[in-house]
Amino acid sequence: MTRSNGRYDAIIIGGGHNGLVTAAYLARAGKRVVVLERRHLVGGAAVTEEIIPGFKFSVFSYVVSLLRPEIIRDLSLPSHGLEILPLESTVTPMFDGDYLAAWPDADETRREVARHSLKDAEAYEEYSRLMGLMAMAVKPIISMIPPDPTSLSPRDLRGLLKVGAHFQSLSAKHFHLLYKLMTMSSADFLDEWFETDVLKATKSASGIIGTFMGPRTPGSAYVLLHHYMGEIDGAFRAWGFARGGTGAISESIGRAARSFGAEVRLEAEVSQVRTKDGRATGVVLANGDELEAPVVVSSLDPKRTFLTLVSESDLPADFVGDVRRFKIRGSSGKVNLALSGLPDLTCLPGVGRHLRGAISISPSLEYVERAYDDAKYGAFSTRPYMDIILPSMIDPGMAPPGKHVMSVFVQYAPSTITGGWDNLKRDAFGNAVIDAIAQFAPNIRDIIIEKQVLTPADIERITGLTEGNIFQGELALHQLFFLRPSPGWAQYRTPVRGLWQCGSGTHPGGGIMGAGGRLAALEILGAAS
Amino acid sequence: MNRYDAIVIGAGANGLATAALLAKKGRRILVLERRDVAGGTNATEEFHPGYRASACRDDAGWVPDALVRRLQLARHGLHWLPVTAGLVSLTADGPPLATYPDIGRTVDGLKASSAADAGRWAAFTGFVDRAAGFLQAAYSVRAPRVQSRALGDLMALAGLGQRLRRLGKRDMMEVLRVVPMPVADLGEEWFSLDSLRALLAVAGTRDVMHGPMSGGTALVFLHQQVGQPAGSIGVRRVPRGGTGALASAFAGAAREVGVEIRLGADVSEVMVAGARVAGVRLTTGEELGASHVISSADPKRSFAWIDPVWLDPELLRAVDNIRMRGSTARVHYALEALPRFQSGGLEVPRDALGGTMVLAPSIASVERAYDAAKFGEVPQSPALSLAIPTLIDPSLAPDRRHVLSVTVHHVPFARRGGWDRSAAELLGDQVTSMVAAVAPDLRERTLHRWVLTPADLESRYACTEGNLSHGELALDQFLFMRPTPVSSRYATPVAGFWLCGTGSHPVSSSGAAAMLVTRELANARE
Repeated sequence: MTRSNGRYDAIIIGGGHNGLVTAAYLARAGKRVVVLERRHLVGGAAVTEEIIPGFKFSVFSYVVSLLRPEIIRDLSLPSHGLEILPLESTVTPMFDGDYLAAWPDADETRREVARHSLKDAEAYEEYSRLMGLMAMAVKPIISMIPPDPTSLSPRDLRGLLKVGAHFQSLSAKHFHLLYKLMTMSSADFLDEWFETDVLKATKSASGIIGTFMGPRTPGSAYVLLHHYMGEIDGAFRAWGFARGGTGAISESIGRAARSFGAEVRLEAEVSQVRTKDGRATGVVLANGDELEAPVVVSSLDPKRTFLTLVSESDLPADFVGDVRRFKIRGSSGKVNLALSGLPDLTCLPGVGRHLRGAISISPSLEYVERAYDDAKYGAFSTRPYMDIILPSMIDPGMAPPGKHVMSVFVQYAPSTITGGWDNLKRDAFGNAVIDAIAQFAPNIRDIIIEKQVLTPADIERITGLTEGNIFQGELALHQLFFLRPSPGWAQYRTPVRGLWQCGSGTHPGGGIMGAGGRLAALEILGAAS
Repeated sequence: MNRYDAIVIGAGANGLATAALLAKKGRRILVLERRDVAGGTNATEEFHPGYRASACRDDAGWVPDALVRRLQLARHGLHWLPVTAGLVSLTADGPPLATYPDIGRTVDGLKASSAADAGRWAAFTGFVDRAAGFLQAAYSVRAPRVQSRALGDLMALAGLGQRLRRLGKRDMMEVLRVVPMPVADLGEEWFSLDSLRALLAVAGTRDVMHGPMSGGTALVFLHQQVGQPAGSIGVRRVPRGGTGALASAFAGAAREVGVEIRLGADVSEVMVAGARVAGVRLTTGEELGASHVISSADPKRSFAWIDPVWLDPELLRAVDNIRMRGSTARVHYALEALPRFQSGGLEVPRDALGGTMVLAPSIASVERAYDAAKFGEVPQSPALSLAIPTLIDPSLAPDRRHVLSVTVHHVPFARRGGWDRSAAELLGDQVTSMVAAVAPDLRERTLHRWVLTPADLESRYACTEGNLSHGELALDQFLFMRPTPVSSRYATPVAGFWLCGTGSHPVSSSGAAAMLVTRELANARE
């Protein structure tokens, strides 16, 4: 089957996981679809690359938990090579040489918490149970198209009633708990439950990943839930790692899309969305090629889509203003290490099962909060919060025999660093990260073969994500649901007819979830029928 | 047979307004006040012979028109004085930047610093007016119950929804978007001048342990705008005689309808018999019977008066979790003459002096103050709000003498090392030097200085942790969550025990809850 620059039913801009999901769903419904990816490989921020020969890095995004099970089923991703390996534990080293661990066995975790506080061990069970319930309560919201509360159309009213009925179906106690999760800071929320500082620190740290908030910033408790919702094949609360790295997820979605007939073009950078009479008609590529289609779907973030690809004259002024003020604040960096051996933690010396899980560098609430304080004024954290995993411990194929790869997610590294990012600052940032790791794993410097340091500016340069923000827009209360990405345009449509959006900048937001991609496809198919 | 139908605890504005409204309906009401003066946190106090200050706050706040009319407060001495300016930014290097009740005047002044900001001022105040108008509508009815299926509750929700819809699509979305936002983002969306943004940042972090970059602080800002006339941002509402005059007017209205007010009567227990309130016991051991006890004290204090055997552990936990992190200190100066205030070498115009002068150069400076406070340190350069009440109301000081009242923001109640007199005076010295930077002759004009730390506010005015709003204003402590979900409509699980203070909806220290409480009480009797 050959398709030259002929007509397509739909053009998808960007071959990240959301773009690919949209493409797969549209192709599955019989549409002729082409995905245009700027880089030489699909995945966007979900890619595996062999930056250093023999060592495979999940360069940006490194774990998965939110990928919607319906997508895995609908697209038969396992048959296209998706295999998720569980990431079972989290160890948080402390300054006094002790640690706090969460193990896959609930009883063992409770005993571990009890080692720090009996009271917290008791609360932990109830907390876990309630958070599980809260995740269930939020699930239907994630899978629904946000209704427009200002609209009186039957469809939006039905949507609003559905949201209302959903909240009414919760008990008063659970509704109030959910409301608190939506509005509180993670530190305040956790203060209501626990007394052990390191427990609150490590939990709240998972609440601030990817955001420009600290543990004491109201709104961060919601992200706590976002990350708690991890479900792999229906099993709640488990983080996972894709065999072959995060890129394997994108590749499996890409293969699924191709199996339904979608075309995926690499090194095909879109420079402009063509419009005629306020309607999208196709795209122009950077090399001058033009492609036509009545439907154009952008998986890029809202700023890149509307401020660079679409002509401002095609958009209402209010809308352009909304896009400009949409907060996309990059707050994190990534350091990938090729290692000759394994890190030796002071708190848990030697090789152990803890190295097959996450290592969270969040020794105290104050540590994480102060890391945030640095970033607020335009500096990277001198003592950053870090989430570390060793993919080669879970999937030996990621590194040569006997060698290892280490993925270090680092926060905070503000995209708006004073004076802008440059090579000197990148080096200083990389050194701060290694120093901070060395506090807890003193042998780290001796085992580093090579390192890749990625600042938000690097992430933006490579992936195209504005400000290097991994969620394509801050997950703050005023940028969620019917306000994401812009009031009145939260249903994947845009002011340009025929132009749609499907990226993480849309409801329900970031993480390797694919929900935006799927919902956008369903909306497009619904509008077409 | 009880001598009283209801006992109200606390003779602040909320307690007195509630008492007056109930007595007007023919109930026999007793108000018990711990201190020897009425007024609570609204008290006007003589802190130096002949010098009086509104001890806790400079703005008496929003008093619903219906309440003013119902209790004929004007007849009881409430007289609002005109205030010449709203918020006035003073900095070491910039000219004074003032907002006035008159939009045109403000715009003219802003033009000198930023034409762009001047151009946006009218649109900004318009949006703020509409958003605050919506809040006012929500504050004029009891807290909604989002979850209830009862017809009345659904109708009330629909009514608020309708009120929101009336704003139009664009504004409705804007209100929903702005309320949970950081006030810093709000300021940055509208204005380019650091000093103007900082004015909003200071207002948005008043009495909360949050910085302007924290979500929900836009709500704190909008909350203070409720009841402001159109176009006015941050204009103080000042009764003649200080904030205490508001409480006095409520007291006058209450006494007229037979309310008995007992001063120096400190409650030690709210007595419960058979799961129902029986009355109160005073620290002297005296017992007073009543079938209703209505507390205007903060929720933590209020529930602590009840034997925990009558309370569900879940409720006790919820009360324990209410955040009341005191973050405000006050410093009052008795001045033999008006100091000369300047900003960037320019004299501050006389009518701007009558506004609230704010010392905070930027959003970042306010945020940095919060950074210190959250770790239990007194910030090096806290944001200050200055008021000279005697420019508006000369009766507060001897002839041609003045009072300067300073609100110090982000002063932690939970100071590392705690509070004592020397720590308090250290804070006073710090404030004096900061003010002296814009009023160099402050020290030689000062006859006396009175420092109230958060710890002082707690012990003197009986608000836990010195939190003047009886629970931080935050999204999770708002509407149906305030003070706890089960007590958000003033009734508590103990029959006959009610709340009517600032800790309840709608976060008012000026009596706004009183009409809602009395309505709930009336419904409960039927």
